[in-house]
Amino acid sequence: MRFIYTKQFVIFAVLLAVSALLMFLHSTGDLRAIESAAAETPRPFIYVISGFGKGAENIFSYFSSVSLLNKTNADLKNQVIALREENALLEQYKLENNVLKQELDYRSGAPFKLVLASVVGYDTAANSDAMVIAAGMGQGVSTGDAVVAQGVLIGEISEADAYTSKVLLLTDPSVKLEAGISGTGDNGILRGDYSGITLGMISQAAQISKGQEVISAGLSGKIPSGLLIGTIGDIKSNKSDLLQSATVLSSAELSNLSLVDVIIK
Amino acid sequence: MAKIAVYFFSIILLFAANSALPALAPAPNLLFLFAVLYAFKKNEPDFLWIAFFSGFLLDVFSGGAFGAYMVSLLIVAFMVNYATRNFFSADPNPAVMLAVIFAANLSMLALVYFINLMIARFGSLALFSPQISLGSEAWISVGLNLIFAPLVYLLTIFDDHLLKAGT
Repeated sequence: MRFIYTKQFVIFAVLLAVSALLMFLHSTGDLRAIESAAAETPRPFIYVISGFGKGAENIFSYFSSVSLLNKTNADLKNQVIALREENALLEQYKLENNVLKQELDYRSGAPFKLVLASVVGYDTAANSDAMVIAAGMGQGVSTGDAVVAQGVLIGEISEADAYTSKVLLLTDPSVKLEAGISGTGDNGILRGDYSGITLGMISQAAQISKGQEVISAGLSGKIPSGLLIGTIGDIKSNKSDLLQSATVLSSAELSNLSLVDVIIK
Repeated sequence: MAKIAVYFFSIILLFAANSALPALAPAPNLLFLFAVLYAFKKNEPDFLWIAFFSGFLLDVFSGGAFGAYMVSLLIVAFMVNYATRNFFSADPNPAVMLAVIFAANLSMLALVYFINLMIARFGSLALFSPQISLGSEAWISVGLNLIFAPLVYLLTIFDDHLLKAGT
């Protein structure tokens, strides 16, 4: 207990007593002036040092805002991707809707019995320009039937199964079809050559020019006459040739078909 | 006089530095560290004055019972000094100092809490908001005190150099 006689203990005891006195004075409200003075004293120092603190805080907030911006940016990128996907889907629906509307317009005024079929896929494995449609013998489709897209002849049925059929497009080299030039009565033979369609065997006397409409002649098979095929492109033959030939530009997007009609005879 | 000026500016500086750390909430208690680190100096009673005025300043800005920090800091500093004089023959090494600071910090938390509680129950403190709770914030504050202790210790050494240069 000797430590209670030390100078330190005396100061400690005195300061404790002063503390108790200050607590009492605080409770009575008599310490307000001293407290105010004590509160004001460090103010300039706080002002100066908090200036440094604010600078440091700004640096930290800069880094935290960068990380926040990165996160927001990543979220927005994901949203953009999702919206693009959604937009692409809507565009696809819009396209399909337009195609359907065109098909319906054509069907309403068509003089033939038509079977609507969606394109299942293009035959990429075989060395041919063909596609498979979702209509077969079950729907009355048979080999040789004409296939049109929005009223444009695009090919003929080469194989008909129960519920699907294979369509040889006019660009397939095995397709051979009588066709004529609209309004002239001149006929020729239409052949496919992968890259396009050629109308050959046209009489030298025939007057053909670029942009003329090419239609089916309907001379043989099941393909009716008067179906639009396309327009004359480049004239391939010379004046000295025995017969004329020209490229035909199909009026349908042969490589991008989703819905077609099969003409049932 | 030089001693009073050096301690005064050190206390004000540490308090201002503490105030400039709003982002670090809970923040370290630099004045507590200053008082306790001075209590390690065996033969000087200066730590008591430092503890008293540091506690007073803390109380002025505290939302709790007035005097809680003053009394707590005085008692804790005195206990640290008593332990240093009686249990450590040589100057304590940093690990021991940190352990003592840790224990002192816990003691102060408990004392402040107890004084607030007592004044709320029997005294004039109408609304007792236990600013010093024993929740996660208090433990983070204790951890921060251990981290900031070396910096405050450097300040005490700097103060000693200033005072030696003055004499």
